Amino acid sequence: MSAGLDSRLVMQRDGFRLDVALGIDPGETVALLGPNGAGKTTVVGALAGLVPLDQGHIRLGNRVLEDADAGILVGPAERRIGVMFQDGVLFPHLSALENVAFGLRSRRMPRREARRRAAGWLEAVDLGPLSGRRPGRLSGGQRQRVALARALITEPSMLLLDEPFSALDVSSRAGLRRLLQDHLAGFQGPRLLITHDPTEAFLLADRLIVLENGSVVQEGSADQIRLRPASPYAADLAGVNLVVGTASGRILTVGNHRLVVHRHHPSPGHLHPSRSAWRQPAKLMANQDRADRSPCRSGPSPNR
Amino acid sequence: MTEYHEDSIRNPSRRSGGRSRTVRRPRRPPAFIAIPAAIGLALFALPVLGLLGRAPWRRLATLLGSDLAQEALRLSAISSVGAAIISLLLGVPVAWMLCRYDFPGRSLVRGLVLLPMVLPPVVGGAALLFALGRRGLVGSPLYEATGLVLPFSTGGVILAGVFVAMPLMVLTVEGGLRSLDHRFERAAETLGAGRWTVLRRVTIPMIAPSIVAGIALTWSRALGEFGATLTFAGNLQGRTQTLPLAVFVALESDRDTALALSLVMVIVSLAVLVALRDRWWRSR
Amino acid sequence: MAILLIAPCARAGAPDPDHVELLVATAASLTDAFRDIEKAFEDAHPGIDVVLNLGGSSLLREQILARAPVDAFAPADVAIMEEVRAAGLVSGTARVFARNTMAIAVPAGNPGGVTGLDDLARPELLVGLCAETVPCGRFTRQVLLMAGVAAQPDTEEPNVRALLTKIEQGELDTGIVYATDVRVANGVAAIPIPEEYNVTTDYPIAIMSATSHPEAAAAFVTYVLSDEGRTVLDRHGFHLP
Repeated sequence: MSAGLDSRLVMQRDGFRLDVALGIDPGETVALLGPNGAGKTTVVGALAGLVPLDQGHIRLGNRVLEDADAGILVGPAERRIGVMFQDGVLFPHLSALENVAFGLRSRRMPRREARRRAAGWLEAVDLGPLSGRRPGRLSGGQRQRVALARALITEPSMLLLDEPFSALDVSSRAGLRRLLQDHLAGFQGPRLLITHDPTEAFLLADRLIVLENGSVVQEGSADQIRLRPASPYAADLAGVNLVVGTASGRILTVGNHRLVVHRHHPSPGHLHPSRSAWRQPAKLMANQDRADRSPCRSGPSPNR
Repeated sequence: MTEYHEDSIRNPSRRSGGRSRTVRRPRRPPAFIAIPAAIGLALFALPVLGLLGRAPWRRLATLLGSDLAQEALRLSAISSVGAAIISLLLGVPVAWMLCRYDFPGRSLVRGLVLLPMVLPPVVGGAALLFALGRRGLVGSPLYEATGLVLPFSTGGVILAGVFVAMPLMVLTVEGGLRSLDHRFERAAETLGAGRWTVLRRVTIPMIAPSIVAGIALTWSRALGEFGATLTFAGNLQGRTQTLPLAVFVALESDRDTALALSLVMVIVSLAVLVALRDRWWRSR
Repeated sequence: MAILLIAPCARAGAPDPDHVELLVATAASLTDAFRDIEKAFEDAHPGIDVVLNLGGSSLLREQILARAPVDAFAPADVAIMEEVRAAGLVSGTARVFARNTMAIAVPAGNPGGVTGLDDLARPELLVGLCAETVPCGRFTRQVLLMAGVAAQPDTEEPNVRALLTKIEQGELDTGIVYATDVRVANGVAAIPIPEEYNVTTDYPIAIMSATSHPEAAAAFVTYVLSDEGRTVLDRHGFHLP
């Protein structure tokens, strides 16, 4: 029943080019990370059918949703791809219940049945008592729960979560994350989580993809990205410093400087000939003519 | 200098503590605002007061009960509501086209749409005659084919009202559409809503305040229309003589009736505009 | 901005002895004749600038009764002048300077096939009359009453020129206007009204008591009544008293 995503998304807009090959297995959660302007939201728009592809294709199992060469384009209403938008994008003129029921009503389910099911979903996201409220009278976390229920109620074949936590404070994040983990566990299709927050990505995703300037710079598990960030941004994500140089044993040559890798580094043998990274910036020692404390970029660290 | 600037940005509390004058809300407007504002308000208020002062309050019921007044009231009610409905049905799609689609000559079209707002209504009426009169560009073949004559008919009154009032509908609705975040419509699409459902359940409800404002504005503008009506539709009691025309004619023969009718228009229009204003304030 | 607003007032408040602006409220049916008279008069009196306020006589009357700063008044009806006189706004006496009659006007080609007053009762024709509140409308109704015709108007225009324009454009099939009007309009033909049903109308002129230029106003009135004035009026088809 459940089918995986197989896609190649190519889009050209005002000097920006997005070219991403993206596959997600059924039941797999992939996190798409990237800085602002990397093209994350464009990926959501393309998969949801809101923005047409210039080249490439989107397939869910054997359903062809879009094929630029063959001229196939299934509209967003027929794709059955659930989207949880950034900031929720709940309809402000409808109550929480009507928001959740919207997808069923759009598919011509009778009003009573749609409302009954929507009420059930609101219960499932712990919002039963607030079903009559309009979004304006819900907190940010409550709105995102409504958005999740609204996306899931239509039983989509794939789920896109576009920055679900970005508008929330820290305490609401934890609650929503738990809720999301529960509901994702019960969702059989591919799931794509768009985020710029590595913590959420590490906690929720099976696999991470780092997007920069419209292309994938790295793909892998959280550990893989932590140990071998492919770009300064990827290193920042993992809270490590990326030093690019030439490695020889424990010595890394970066320009005129030679760096000695501390023995506490978990896997010194993994030093890549050209790229390496350390988790703990403070333990990096420099051994060189001039006593520079750190010739490296210092990135945000979870320990700080 | 730079340091002080940064410091004051980082510590706004310090700034407000040190210079309370800049933070305190002014209690009364300065004279250079208050005086021209008072003159401006007087320009609006005095004519209304003049009308209220001269109005024949005691005979109001009798005066408004006359045939001339009754027929004018009825005709104005029909034609202003008709003009508002047609403006709604045609103006919203025009606003939609202007806002959502890029087509060659769009700025020209927008200028054309707004033209009736700045054109003297008499010119508008004459233009309508040239286009839709019995000898007009479109009116002539229409007459040949169907025998339909728009001038000197109630339909002509409504058409003149639409001509002068529809720009207000287009303006308000286009403003509403422009400020609508298109992500709501996209969210609806991903939930399986077709174009018609999106329109009916998302777009229209979300721009409803603009539509309501547009209806009220077009309606009151059509109610007050005089020049284009007289030029295009003529003046005949019971068929084309709306309230403003009746006032104009009665001013020269029966001033009290004219004043009574004017009073009706002022009160009704004011009520609508005040109610509208309240609605806006509440919804924002 | 303030200067712009004040400027017109300032000009009116400080009269220049060498330049007088004379406001003459003039019946719409006199439009063309008085434009010619204005030009000839200004040539003869270089210091005086005549400004014609043209409109339906009853509208002009309302403006004068509301104390508009009018120097001289030439309505299409002695009854209207009488009302203004009764309000104490006429200086001296009013004198009749021209006469007119009514005529049936039809667009060029007479598409409605109008031959006489009876046709004004044909429902299939688009018929326009002057509103009863203006002199032209009152005279029209006198004519119709005498002829025993129950006209079925499709519009009652607030002044005769508006009516004439709509006949000229062919939007109306026929209407009753002043005989002089038919002469000036292109594309309009006249169908005479039998003498026994027609009316003769008198145009009075008088100086207004509100005038701040009594000499100039008197000069203008005298000119209208003079041979030069009569020649112009005659040329425009008015009868002369």
